[in-house]
This record gives sequence, structure tokens and C-alpha cells, in this order.
Amino acid sequence: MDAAWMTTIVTWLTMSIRMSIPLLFPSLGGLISQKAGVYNFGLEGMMLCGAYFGYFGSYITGNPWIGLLLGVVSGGLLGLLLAFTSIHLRVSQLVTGLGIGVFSLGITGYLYRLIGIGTATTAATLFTSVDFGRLGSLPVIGEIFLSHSWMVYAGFVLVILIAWFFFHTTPGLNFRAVGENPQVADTAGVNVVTNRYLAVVVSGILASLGGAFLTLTQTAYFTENISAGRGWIAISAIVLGKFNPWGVLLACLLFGAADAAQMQIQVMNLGIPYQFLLMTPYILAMLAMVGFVGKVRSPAAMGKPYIKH
Amino acid sequence: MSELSTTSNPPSPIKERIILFARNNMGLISTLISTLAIGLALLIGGILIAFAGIDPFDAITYLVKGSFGNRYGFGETLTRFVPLLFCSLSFAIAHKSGFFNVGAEGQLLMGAVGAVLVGAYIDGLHPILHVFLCIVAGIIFGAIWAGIAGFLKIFLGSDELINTMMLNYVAILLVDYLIHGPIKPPESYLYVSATILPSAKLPIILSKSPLHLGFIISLLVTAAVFYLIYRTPIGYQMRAVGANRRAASYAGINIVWATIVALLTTGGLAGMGGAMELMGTQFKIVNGFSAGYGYDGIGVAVMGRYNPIGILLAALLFAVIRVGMGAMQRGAGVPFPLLNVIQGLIIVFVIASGYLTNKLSETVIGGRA
Repeated sequence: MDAAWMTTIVTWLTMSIRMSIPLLFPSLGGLISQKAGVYNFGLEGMMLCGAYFGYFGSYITGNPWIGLLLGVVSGGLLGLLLAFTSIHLRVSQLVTGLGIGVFSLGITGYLYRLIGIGTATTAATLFTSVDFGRLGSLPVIGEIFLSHSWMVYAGFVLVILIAWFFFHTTPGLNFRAVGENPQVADTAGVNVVTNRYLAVVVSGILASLGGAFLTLTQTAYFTENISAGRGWIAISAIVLGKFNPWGVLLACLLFGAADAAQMQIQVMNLGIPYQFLLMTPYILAMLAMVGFVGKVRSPAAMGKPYIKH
Repeated sequence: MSELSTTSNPPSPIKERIILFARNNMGLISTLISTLAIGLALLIGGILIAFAGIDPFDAITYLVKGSFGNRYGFGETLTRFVPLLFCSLSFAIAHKSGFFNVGAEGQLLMGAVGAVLVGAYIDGLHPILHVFLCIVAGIIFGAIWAGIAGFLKIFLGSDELINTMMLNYVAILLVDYLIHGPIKPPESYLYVSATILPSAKLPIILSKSPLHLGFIISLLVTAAVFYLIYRTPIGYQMRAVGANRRAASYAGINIVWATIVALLTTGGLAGMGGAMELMGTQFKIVNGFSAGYGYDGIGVAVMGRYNPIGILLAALLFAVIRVGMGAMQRGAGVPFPLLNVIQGLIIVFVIASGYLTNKLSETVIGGRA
């Protein structure tokens, strides 16, 4: 294997990790929401708002943390809206989610056009890569694993935390009970409404983190519809990951690897029209669900509103 | 509601009268609630306009003038109405049949591709035949695109919601590829498809305006769709599957067949909408050909509560907003994405107001009068 190939593979692996993160955050968000029994079909819109307000805050103040905060607040508020309509009003979770998507596409596009488009001065301040000192300059491993911003590592830590929470803590068990059988959970003294609210709001926050990752570590710019369907691909990743945080991580790494591969192939200029390369994440998301639905058991009360008797 | 129905005190005469009035006028009341929801969405839109430093009343003047203040604008509104109506019919028929087709955007695009292939590359046909064949091609292409998701659902158990959504992104990229090469006229410097021949264009039905025959066709198709759903055996089967899959199966209904028919119809309708937009308005495919009609159609169907009159009115309202928003952008400098803000809010508010309507009807039916 010659050096050029080696470089390509190292770059590909590095990019694979990086491109899995904007899917991992919304997927974990969607997972938490679905575990508690509420579909979050607003992930795409929440990502968009996270991306825009993250960009905006960082651009205005020069501090990406302020951007992140703004982005997270926007995602949390949309989560609250979805929680209110699906838990209190018990109206269609799908339609509300789609409405949130349309609204977010509009509000981010509207504000973005008001504030000015894509000139050099409108770049946001990015999060820099974590400095691992001398470890970071290790060959291969340094670049693949130790060259990322803190958000990448936060994503992985989050997987561990969520897995631990669901499978090793009492609140986590209660949480899952709310999604499996709210009547029984309620009888056992678990507050269904509070748990579901928490789940959906956290889900919105995580989705917006995925969006903020795009503008605060990758592009420094916002473009309309920057999330490009990742909020929907995330739902496919949840199914492929069999509703398990570790499975979801693997699914996101797989999608990330595919995304990174198509980017690499675009750069190589092999004569494949770029449109076909760009299609791969979407087609993969479709194929990922083939044969899984039905075999994978989703939380029993998912999508069903809970009415206390 | 339970407080009211279990109360031991007899309701006061005034309350009785209100309940009686509400019971007799549920349709009126739910319309009123929807109107309030729309008003609220528009109000927030106005606040956002003011936030941009633009006089909202000035902007609204542009909206009204642009969308039905003159002959041309009126024609344009009814022209925009056509693809909106097709996409909402597409979503509604899928909804009635128990699945979610959020892929009208992609199906519309593919329908336009079908129509452009027949409309631009087959020459020497009588206009009536040519138009007819273009529409058929649009329907077939749209149905095939929905059929991919249908195939994955019926035979491989894959979720149609995500698949129809993913197919939108794929369709946009596929069309982008096509207009960069295979269907681009060789002499063109722009990335566009070939233009359809004059014999494939829909005639204008209101002079000095862009209003074309597709408007009449869309009304006829609406009637046909609701006839299909409510007055034919297959329509009954589709609704039965939509209402309760298991019960329909026990009743001996062929679920696979009903689902296939529903899928082909939902895709065909969106595809037909694409063909109409192509043959009546744009004549060639450019990037951004659909401009969100597929997603707007979902909002129209939700707001129209899946019934024919409601959908027609909602499609008209969305068309007015869309055309008016264009005029507001040109005249007052209001950024166009405000359209999506307002439509998104309408979707959320109208669906949320369904709760009020439900609660009210429970109260009315449970209450004494």
C-alpha cells in the first residue's frame, strides 16, 4: 500500500467519525423521546434551529459557547412545543413534527436573509480541536481519533451515559416503563407526564446540538436547509440501532462512514456524477430499515398519547 | 369535560343555551377555531415583519394587491393553487388509507420529469393527445416514485414515512443530475431541461393572466378523488384499511391490493400535479422547480381536515399567501422564507386547535341541554 492510499484511508476514517456526530446527537435525541413513548418527527427542524442560532450567537459575540447556548435553547423550546401538543393536547405527533420542520426551515431562512448572506465577514467563530499535546501528533491514531473538537468526544460520552442511564439506573427503568406501558408505570407511582416532557425537551436539545455541530465545528456558515435531511436519517439510524444506544452509535458510524466515503470519492474525481454520490446517505437510510421494522421491537406505547383515568 | 358531565347542579339556562347552540353548530365552531389559528399564525408573521423594520400594514397591502388585487395576480394565485391542490389530495388519500406519504415533493418532481420526456421529445402529435400523454406520463412517474416506498413497505416491511421523505432528497438530486446532462438541451448554457413543445402546453383560460386549463382539471380531479374514496368499493376498502388494518383483514379485505391502489393513487396525484405545473406554468424543469409544494400540500390537507371543501379552501389560502409573499418580497423586501414560517405555524396551530374542537364536542355531547 502506498502513501497516497494510506493518507486517503486515514482521512476517510477521520471524516467518518466526524460525519457521524451530526447524526449521533439527533439519533440519541430521537431515541430518548421514543423510549418514553413519543415520536419526535421534529428532529430535522430542531437541528436546523440549532444550526442557525448556534451560528448566529457565535457570529454576533465571537464566542461559540454563546452560540451553542442559543442553539440549545431554540431546540429545547421546540421540544417543549412538541411535548405540549403531543402530551397535553394529544394531537398527531407526526403532523406537529412536520409543522415544526416547516416552521424551522422558514424562521432560519428568514432570519438568515435579514442578517446577510455568506460574505466573508459573516463567519462564525468555530470550536477548535481539543489539544491532546504530544499524543495528538501520533501517526494515524492521532489524526483519526485525537484531532476533533470537544463535541465529538461529548457525543461518545453521551452514548455511555445514556446506556448507563437506561439499563443501570432506576430513573432510567422508570423512563422506559413510561414508553412501554404508561398505565402500569403510572400505577407504580412513576409520573408519566413529567417523564415524557423531560424526554421530548432533552430530545430537542440533543437534536439542536447536532445542528450546532455543523455550524460551530464544520462550516462556520449557515446555509438554508443545512441539515439536509439528517433529522430524518437519524430516525432510520434508531431503527437500525435496534433502539439501543450502542446500536445507534454503530448505525451512526456506518452512516458517517458512508457520508465520508462519498465525499472522498467526490474529491477523487472518478467521473461519477456528484449527485449520485450525494444520494448515498439517503438510499442507505432506506436500505437500513429493510427487514428491520417488525423484527425490531419498538417501545410498546410509542406514539400513543397517555390518558389518565 | 368530566367535571361538566358529572356535575350534580343543573346547568344554568344560559349554559344550556350555549351548549344547545354549540351542538347545532359544531361545523361553524370548528371553522371559527381554525380561522383563529390561522389568524394567530398571520399575527406572528406580522410581528416578524415588524421585527425586520418593515411596516407590516405596508407589507400586507402588497400581499393583498399581489395575490388578488388585479387580474394577473388573481390568475397567478389560481395557478399556484393547482400543484398545492394535487399535493394535498395526494397526502389526504394516503392518510385515509392509513399511511403517511410525505414524499409528494419528490413525486411531483418525477411527474414533471415524465411529462417533460413526453412533452419535449415526442413530436407531431395532436395537442389534445399530446397533453393527455404528458399527463399520463406524469402520473406514471409519480406513481413509480411512490411505488418504490410502497414496494419497500409491502414486501420488505420498511417504514414508508422515512422512505418517502428520503425519496424527496433522492429525487431532487436525480433531477439535478438530469438537467446537468441527459435532458439538458445541448445548446443551453444554463442547467435546465428541454422546453416542452407548444402542442404539450396547457391553454390559458383567462386572458392576460397565467391561469391555465390545469385549474379546471384540478377541480375535476378533486371531485373524482373524493368519489373514489367515498363512493366506490375500492375506496371503501382503502378507508377500511386506513381505519383499522386488522379489522379490515378479518372482514376479508385484500390489504395488499388496497394499499397498492392507494399508493399508486397518492403518487399519481402528486406526479400529475408536477405535470400540470410543467405544462401550464414553467414549461421546463429548473433547479427548485417544486419550491416546496409537496410539503405545503401536507399543511393544506391538515388545515382542510381531509375533506373536499376544506382542502379547496385551504389550498386557496396557501396559494394566496404564496403569491402574496412573492409580492411582499419584491415590494417591501420581506424575505420569502416567511412563507414557511407562517405555513409551519398554521400547521401546528390548526392541529393543536383540533384538541379544542374535540374537547368541545365531548363537552357538548356529554353535557345536558
